[in-house]
Amino acid sequence: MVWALTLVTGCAMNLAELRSPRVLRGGEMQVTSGNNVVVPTSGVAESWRTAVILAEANDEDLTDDEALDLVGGATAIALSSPGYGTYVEYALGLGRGFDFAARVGNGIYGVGFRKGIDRHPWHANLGLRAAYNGGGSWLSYANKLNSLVDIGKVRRVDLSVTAMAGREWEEWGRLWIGAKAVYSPYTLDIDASAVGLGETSTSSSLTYAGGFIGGGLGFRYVHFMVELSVLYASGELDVFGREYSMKGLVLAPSWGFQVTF
Amino acid sequence: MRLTAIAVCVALCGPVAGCFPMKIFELPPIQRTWDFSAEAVAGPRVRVQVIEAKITQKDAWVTLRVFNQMTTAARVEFATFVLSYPDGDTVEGYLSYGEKLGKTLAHAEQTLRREEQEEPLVAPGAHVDIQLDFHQYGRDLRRHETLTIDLAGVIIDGVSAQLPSLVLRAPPEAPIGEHI
Repeated sequence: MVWALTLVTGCAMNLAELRSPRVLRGGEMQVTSGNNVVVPTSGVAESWRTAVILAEANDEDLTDDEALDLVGGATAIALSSPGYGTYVEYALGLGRGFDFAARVGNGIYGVGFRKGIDRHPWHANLGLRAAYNGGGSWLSYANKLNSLVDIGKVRRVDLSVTAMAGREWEEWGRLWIGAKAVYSPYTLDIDASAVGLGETSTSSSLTYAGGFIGGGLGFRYVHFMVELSVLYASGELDVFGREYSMKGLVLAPSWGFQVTF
Repeated sequence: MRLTAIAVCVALCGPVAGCFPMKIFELPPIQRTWDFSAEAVAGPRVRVQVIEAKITQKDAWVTLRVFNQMTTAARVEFATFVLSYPDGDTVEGYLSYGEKLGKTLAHAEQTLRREEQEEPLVAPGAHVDIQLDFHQYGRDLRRHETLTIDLAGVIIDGVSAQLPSLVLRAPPEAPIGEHI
């Protein structure tokens, strides 16, 4: 069920880098059309499963305990942002080894800078990105769950630090590995009146740490890029006084086309 | 409140992204193409003048005009050209795609007319233009004070034109240094 949900959802947290480690030179431009799938596992997946099973059951028979689990699971889904997402990113070389990038997709608006070291064909960079996640239609796939637990006003910021290195093979190949840490403070409003729990709001933060590996093939202006991120998520979720663990591995494969000119 | 403050910062980052880091890190102007210039060079039979030299990060697009200085018509042909960085690295240059297309069409026309495929003669005092593209990857052609083109690829009546190298010079305002 969880895997099926992952495939049909309309929004996902934006973890992909999907760019060569070579920082763009001054005036060089790049446009990336990225796709990514986010698959949280372990504790978070268990919370979802519980929530979905409870939502599919007759809601009038839910005990308070089950109702709490349902609300906790639904909220965990909202925060872990499972599913498929797309984005478009524009990047511009600023000179002196800096480049700037702005990305938009699935209610996520992010800007980032990278500072690179160029030892062609080897390259490395350190990057910072701040992204605002406005929530969006993250729960529209699960109508039953959505009708029971209304989670509105999701406000989340993803602040990430990335270090990556790799090499380029002239104009046709790229390969890179990297490490990433993400800090995501959030606040959201929960309306669980339909299951007799009333309304509440919660705020806390999640952190992610892990790595990624990727590559690209193409020629001169156009490349097809693929990447796999594996991050460990940690954090707690407090809903109506009950704590839920957000710990677990997050797998995020991504792919897309990139034009550099 | 904290989230709102961060969101405002994120939203503001976009518009100011172009100028804030430039002031902090003294970044160069974001200019993709610089117009280099060069003095004409002459040999015993022809003179070569640079009509246009557009230098981007990866390409040097150079248009040369070759004047016939002899008193007789000459057949001007072009072989491979080589562009050199000041540190000695070289980049081979080729006819631009437009030039190749033009020559291909001309040759096709000659074939249809059952004429021999050869370059037309250039009358005394007349000239012929050639557009070259020097393409490389991994370095930045714009960030050098000079780029030198070896003109051994200019062939007059079947032999090298014996021309000195052509030196392209960056405009004074162009930032110099590949770390820029």
